[in-house]
Amino acid sequence: MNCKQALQLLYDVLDREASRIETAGVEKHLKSCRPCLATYEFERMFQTLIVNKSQNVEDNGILKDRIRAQLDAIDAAG
Amino acid sequence: MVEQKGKELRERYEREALIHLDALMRTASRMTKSESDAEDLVQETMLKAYRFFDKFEAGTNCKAWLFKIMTNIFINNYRSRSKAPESVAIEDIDDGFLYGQLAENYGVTDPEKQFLSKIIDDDIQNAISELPEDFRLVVVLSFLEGFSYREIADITGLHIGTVKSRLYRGRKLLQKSLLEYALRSGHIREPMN
Repeated sequence: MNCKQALQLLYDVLDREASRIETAGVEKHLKSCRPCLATYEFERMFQTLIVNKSQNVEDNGILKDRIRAQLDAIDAAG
Repeated sequence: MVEQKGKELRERYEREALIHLDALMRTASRMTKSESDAEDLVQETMLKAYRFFDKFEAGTNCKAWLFKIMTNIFINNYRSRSKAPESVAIEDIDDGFLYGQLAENYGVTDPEKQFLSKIIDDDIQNAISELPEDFRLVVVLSFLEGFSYREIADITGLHIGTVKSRLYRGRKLLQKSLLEYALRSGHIREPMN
């Protein structure tokens, strides 16, 4: 696998959508290619950053209660 | 007997569907950009799901099923009420990788320290919210909710190739706006010509 092929698969690999053979080919290439490895690592860190900073969850307790009350109404109506 | 069946359905709904409320809200607030619209959207989704819950095949992916219902309601009732076309200069999107650009165009030698570590939460949330709706939807479903390309295709009704290309462009647009924030705040300097 050359650099072009390895970089074409970058997002497939990061998203775990690449096949096992593709992933193995990429891993082999990265062992011997520092520029591609640096690009992969940077893209992976970028993605992890976005994902981690977006996981915060608000307290949706009031909304949940409101929905449950409406479910009760649906249940009661039969 | 009927009552018993209803009770079982409700319990199963609480167990399998209602537990995804937080995830639905996380996506809904990013798509509607309004907490109250997001709550309305999620509520509508949860009630619709409850009405059709006996049609839902137990053991299949309930989270994806709920997101599909929500995406349909969003597209029909909530999407860009202002009909202004969201023009994106797609040609603008560079095909190169940000890592290389930072090194070559801005002389950044340690992009983790000089760029990534300087990005603050608000910048990320603003960058996501500035994404055009079509791109934002697939980015949120993939990044935040961890759905596979196949699941996103099913949720949105898009061809899997379209999912991939929108995700690709969405990523590039995210990186572009975060680079712009870094330039504006002076963490990275414009190259001197």
